[in-house]
Amino acid sequence: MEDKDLVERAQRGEKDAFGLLYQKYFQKIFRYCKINLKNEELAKDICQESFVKAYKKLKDFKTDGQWSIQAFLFTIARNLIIDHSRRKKEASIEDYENLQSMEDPYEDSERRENIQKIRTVLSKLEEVDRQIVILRYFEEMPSLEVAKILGIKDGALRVRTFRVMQKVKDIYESLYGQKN
Amino acid sequence: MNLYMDKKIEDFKKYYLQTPPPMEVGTGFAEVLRRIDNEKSTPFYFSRIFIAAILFLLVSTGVAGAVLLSPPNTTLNAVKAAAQRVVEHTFNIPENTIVLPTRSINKKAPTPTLTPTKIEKDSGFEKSEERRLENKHTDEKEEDEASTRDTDVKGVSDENKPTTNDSNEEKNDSRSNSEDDSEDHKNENAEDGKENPSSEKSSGKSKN
Repeated sequence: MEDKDLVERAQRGEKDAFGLLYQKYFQKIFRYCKINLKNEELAKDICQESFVKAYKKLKDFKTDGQWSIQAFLFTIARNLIIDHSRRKKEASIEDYENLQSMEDPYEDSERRENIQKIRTVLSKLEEVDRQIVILRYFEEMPSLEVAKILGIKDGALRVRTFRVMQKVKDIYESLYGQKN
Repeated sequence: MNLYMDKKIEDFKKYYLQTPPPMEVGTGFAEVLRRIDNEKSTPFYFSRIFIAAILFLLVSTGVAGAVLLSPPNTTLNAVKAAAQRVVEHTFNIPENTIVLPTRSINKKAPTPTLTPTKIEKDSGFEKSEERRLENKHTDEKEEDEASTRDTDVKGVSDENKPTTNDSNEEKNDSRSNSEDDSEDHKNENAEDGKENPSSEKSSGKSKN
């Protein structure tokens, strides 16, 4: 079943339809929250809160508009993450380092090291740039949707995406050298 | 981007996409529904209306206060009247207890005219005009007095007899000096005295 139908059914008050939407997007929203908040319990809480808020705002959502339900959910999640970060003012680098203990201990050490390096690089980026990398490269979302979530124009996003990857490379090289 | 960077990014992407869910989907959705029901059951909507009402009261009181304290303004008269009624009604104040500084709408600001402005009393023109009139009066009086004096000085020799002109001038001098302190008038008198030095002598004689 398509998102549009599910949304329309959910708008009519069918909780099962909203349950299907939850099933479809829960994993995506959770990992997005986790990579931004660096705390699994907090990510879980913000993810649940995003769906609660989405349910309440679903009546205002227009299915014939340019917004997809995916972009709608990601926007809510991002706003909640920003609100939380403003309240807590958490230091991102320390949190990333603390998260290392939660990694799978049986994972390849070299791979783990690489993941940690990229995570550090991501923490050095601006918030919008970080979201571009996550949404555009990792989630492989269309640029139009990413532009909507971040509140910027599609053209500006394309230019910024190119520059962000250059920044990632530069930060990586400045931190770990060229060949590492 | 370089290949080695691409590989690292790809590695991270794989890791990111494999993030395990914290709980089962069914459990998670039950939790979401529970939260939605909780928020509905709590008097959130009532509290929101209550907060809105308090905010409205605060804002309206603030606006009313600002209007009351604002200087009189023609365009605000209607608003002021309304605010007055609101405040009176809200705080059970008898009507027309609060007197607002209002300006009549019909009253227009004075427009600049081209008519000459009124001459101030202290202005030089006024002074000189007054002086001229005073002198005129004194001249007339002195002429009368002199005429009477001519009749009084009978029996005195013709040499000592003061001329009418001299005596007039002398009196004029003394009066004008005492009454008027302006420099111009003094100078005039002084010049008169210089021109007719006999006048002083004659005046002295006349006094004697």
